[in-house]
Amino acid sequence: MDLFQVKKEGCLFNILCLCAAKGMVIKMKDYKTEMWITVIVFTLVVLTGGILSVFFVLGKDVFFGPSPNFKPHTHVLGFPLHYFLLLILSWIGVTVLGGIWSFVMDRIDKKEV
Amino acid sequence: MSETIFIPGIIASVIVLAVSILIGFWGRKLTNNLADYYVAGRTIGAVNNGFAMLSLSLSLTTFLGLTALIIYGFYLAVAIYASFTAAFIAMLVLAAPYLRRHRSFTTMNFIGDRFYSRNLRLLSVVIMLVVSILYMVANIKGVGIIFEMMLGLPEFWGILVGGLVVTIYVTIGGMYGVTYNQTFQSLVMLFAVMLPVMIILKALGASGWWFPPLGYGEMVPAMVQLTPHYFFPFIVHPVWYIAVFLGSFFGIIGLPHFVMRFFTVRDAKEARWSTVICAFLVGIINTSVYAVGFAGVYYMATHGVQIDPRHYDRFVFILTEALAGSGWLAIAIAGALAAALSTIAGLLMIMGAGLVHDFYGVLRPNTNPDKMLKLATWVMFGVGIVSTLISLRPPEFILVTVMWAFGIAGAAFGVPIVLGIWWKRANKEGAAAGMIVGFLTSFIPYILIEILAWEPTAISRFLYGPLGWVKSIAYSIPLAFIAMVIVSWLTKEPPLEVRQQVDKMHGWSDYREERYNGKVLPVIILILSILCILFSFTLYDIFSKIGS
Repeated sequence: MDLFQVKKEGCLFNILCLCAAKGMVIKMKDYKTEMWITVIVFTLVVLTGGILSVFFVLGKDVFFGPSPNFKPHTHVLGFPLHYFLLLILSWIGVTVLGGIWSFVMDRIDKKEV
Repeated sequence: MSETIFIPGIIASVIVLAVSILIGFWGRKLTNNLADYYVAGRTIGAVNNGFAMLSLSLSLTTFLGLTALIIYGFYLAVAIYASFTAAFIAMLVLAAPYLRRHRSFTTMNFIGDRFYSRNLRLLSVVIMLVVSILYMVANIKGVGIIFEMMLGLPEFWGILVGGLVVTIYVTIGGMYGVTYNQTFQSLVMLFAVMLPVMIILKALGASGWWFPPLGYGEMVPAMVQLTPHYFFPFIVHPVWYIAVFLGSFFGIIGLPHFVMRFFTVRDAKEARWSTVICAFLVGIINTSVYAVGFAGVYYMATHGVQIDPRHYDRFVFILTEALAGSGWLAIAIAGALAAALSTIAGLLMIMGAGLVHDFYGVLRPNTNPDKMLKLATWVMFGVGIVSTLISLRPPEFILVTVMWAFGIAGAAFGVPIVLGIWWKRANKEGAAAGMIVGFLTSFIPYILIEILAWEPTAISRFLYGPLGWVKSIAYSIPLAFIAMVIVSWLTKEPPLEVRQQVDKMHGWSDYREERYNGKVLPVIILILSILCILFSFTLYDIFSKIGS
């Protein structure tokens, strides 16, 4: 084996190592993307899917005054705002979030394949 | 109406039943082995699975139970279903594609493999039976109501006939039959829910009748005059909402008949998009049913109609007949029947598969596959008959039993499934602790309140208010999380091949120890769970005036 051969094999080895390292970095980046997008989407889904109601309840004195005097002031398409938000966010809102999450995860899957 | 035979209803129902049985026979032709029978050979696409999931999730609980609950609880019922709709996306991001990659047949199979324990697999079969029977009883009661309305027969005969018909087509067709039946039934339901609602809203004078989800806004001022507290969100303790959220989000992941649908699709991508499609369709139907509930309360208030609370479950039919006529009533009945059939079929499928694959198959692992297939067919038939007989003592309200099922499934299955997917350190000791704590803390209140008829407030003052027992979910699911995290930490970590399963479930071709193995997730879960329990109990007095 001459010097050139050793150099060539060493070079190939280095390139392979670099590629593997780069692959690992990319994979860890994808892993972090998966974790973050999941945390963000899940938190938003939690907020839109009913937990929002808790904030209305907790903040009732601040937002609406004592319970017996509650009267919704803001209306959208005829519905009280809190009812409309619950209706739309828990349906269209979460579907859009689910679509975004699926799109991102499809891309990560494609890279992995 | 209940004393005479309703011919249009019978014709519509016979068509639905006949097509269902034909599809069952067709499904039989496609079934060659156990994988075909349990998971349709894992060949189902996203659209087909999305529609099948739709009909599985829209049982009679939605069709009849939700309307009844809206009449009973107004905004609270809508809050429950808002959580339920959003829960599909929670299931998507936390479980759906990962379960598909695991290549199990059932939830029990997943728990047995992920937590490397035969005993846990057997225990999960028992829990699955409890949860599925609770869910099933409510739906078979709905079938009884339908047959009572059509034939003038008592509920008893309706339950017997309906239960037998479903048993036959599930037994014949296996998962292929169930899947294509569920897709067919979804289409029937979409038609049978949307059209009568449009007619009802038009009859009440809503100009937006052509789009039921948002078509009744102009009737709101009149409703606020007639029933001022219809949109009132403050009549229960905030913990009630937290309990509903926890029950929906983790309950849907824990319900084995929902999870089984993900094992039937081609790959993780199809699992993801089928859930998105399902969430969108479920939203359309649920928001349309809110319109029915609104129209029902509005109709009762404007026409001075009084209905016995025991008959709230059949209010959809009463309203349809009064405002849309008997032709539409027949369609509504066919839709309700389709809703019941699809869910009962899914439940029978999981119960049969659980008993054969996860119980008998574990105790006798060397059984010939052909023998297992034959056994699966007979067990499915037996389970159908037994479940029908159990359903002869139905609950008063359909949705109540289903809510219990969600709570128990969330605590006993939802918790180990989520941690099993997202935390490598979760081990069999932790899963056992979580499942047992979750099951006992949710099932014991059910026994006390529903079977022994104790007053919820006699068990704990904390359980006061409308549907106050729902609040028991607010501590059973956090307790299951706490038990699982702490016991997993205190005992030895799972073997390498089990930890590798977690990376594989997430689609990684290589293994890295640091993935899904941090301390942040379990610490956050512990903190949130402890806060949830503390909030539930210690802040009671601050909010007591809201519940009074």
